[in-house]
Amino acid sequence: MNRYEFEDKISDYLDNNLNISERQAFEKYVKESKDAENLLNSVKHTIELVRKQSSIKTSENFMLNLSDRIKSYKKTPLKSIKRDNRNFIFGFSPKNSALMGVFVFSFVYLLLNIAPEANSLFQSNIVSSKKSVIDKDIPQSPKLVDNKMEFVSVDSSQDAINSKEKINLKDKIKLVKNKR
Amino acid sequence: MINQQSQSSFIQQLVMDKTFKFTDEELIARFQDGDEQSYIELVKRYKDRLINFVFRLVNDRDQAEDIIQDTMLKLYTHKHYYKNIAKFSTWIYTIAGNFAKTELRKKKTRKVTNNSQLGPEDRDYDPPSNDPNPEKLVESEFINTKIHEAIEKLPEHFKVVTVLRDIEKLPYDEISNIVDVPLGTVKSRINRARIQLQKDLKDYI
Repeated sequence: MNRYEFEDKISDYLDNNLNISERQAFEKYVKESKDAENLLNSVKHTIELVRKQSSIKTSENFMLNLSDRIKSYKKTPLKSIKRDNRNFIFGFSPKNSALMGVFVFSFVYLLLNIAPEANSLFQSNIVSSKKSVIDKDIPQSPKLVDNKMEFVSVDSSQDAINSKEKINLKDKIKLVKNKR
Repeated sequence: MINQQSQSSFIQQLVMDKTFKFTDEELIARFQDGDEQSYIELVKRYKDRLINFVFRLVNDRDQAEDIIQDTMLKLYTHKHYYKNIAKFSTWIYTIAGNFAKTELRKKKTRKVTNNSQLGPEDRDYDPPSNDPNPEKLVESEFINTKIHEAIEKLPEHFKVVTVLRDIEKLPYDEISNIVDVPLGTVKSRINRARIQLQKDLKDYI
C-alpha cells in the first residue's frame, strides 16, 4: 500500500467498509508510518467534531407560518384560474383582443376596397403564375425532326432552344409502335 | 358533555400515537389519500432535520427556514409526485437540496457577503454542550465556528455529501440517490472532503 491508496481508504476504514485483507494491509501501513497514523487519528477526530456540531431547530412560528401559506395556497389558485378563464380570449385581454379585431378587419377592408388595382394585379399574377405552373406540369410529347427517328428534348429555357441541341436517342428509345 | 370531550381527546391521542408508529412511506401514502394529519406528522419529523442540512449549505438561518417552508409547501402541493419506489427521506432531501442549490446560485450572482465573516455571537444555533464551565464553553463554541467555516469553505459537491453523511448521518446509498451520483463517487467525495476538513482544522483540534 502506498500513501495515495492509504488516503483513499481512510473513510472506508473508519466506516468499516474494508474487507479483511484490505483492512490488514491498511493497519500494517498505519503501523509502519507515523505520518499515516497521525493523519488517521486527526481525520477520525475531525469527523467526531463535525458529528458533534450543534443542531439547529426551526423557529416556534414555523408550523403557524406554514399553515398560513397552505391556507393562502388553497385560496389563490382557484381564484386566479377563474380570473384567467374570464379575462383572456385566445391569450389576449378583452381590450387587446378588441383592438386586434379592429386592426385585422381594417386591414382586410383596405386590401379589398381601397387598393383594388393592386389587388387585381396581385390576382392576375397569381393566375399567370398558376398557368405557367400548370403548363410546366403537362408533359410535352417528343417532336419528330426531319422524318428521322430523332427526338429533340423540348426545353422551356430560351438558351436551350437557341443552341438547338439535338439528342440522338435512336439507339436508346424504341417505340412500341415501331416494334409492331 | 365533559365525558364526550374527554372521549374525543382520547381518540385524538390514540390517532396521534398510531401516527407515530407509521413509517414515512405509510404517512405519505395516507396523505396522498387525503389524511392531512399525516402531512403534519411528516413536517414535524423532517423540519429540524432538513433545516440542519439546508443551513449548512446556505449559511443563513432565515433563508434556511424559508427554504424548508418552500419544501414543505411543495410536499403539500405536489404530494402525488412521490412514487413509492424511493424512500420518502430521499425525496424530501432532494427537494430541499434543490431549493438550497437554487438559492446558492442566486447568492453567487448577487455576491452577498459571506456569513462566515460573522462572529460566533452572530450565529443562531444552540450552544454545543451543557458544560457550565464558561472557558470550555467559549472554546467549544470557537471550535464549532471553525468547523462551520471549514465546511462552508468546501466546494458545493463536497459540502452536500459531507453534511448528509456526517451531520445528517444518512447511509451512503441514500446520499447517492439524493445527489444523483454513483456510490463510488459519493464515497470518494466524502473521503476527500474529510481530508480537506482535517487539513483546515488541524491547527484547532
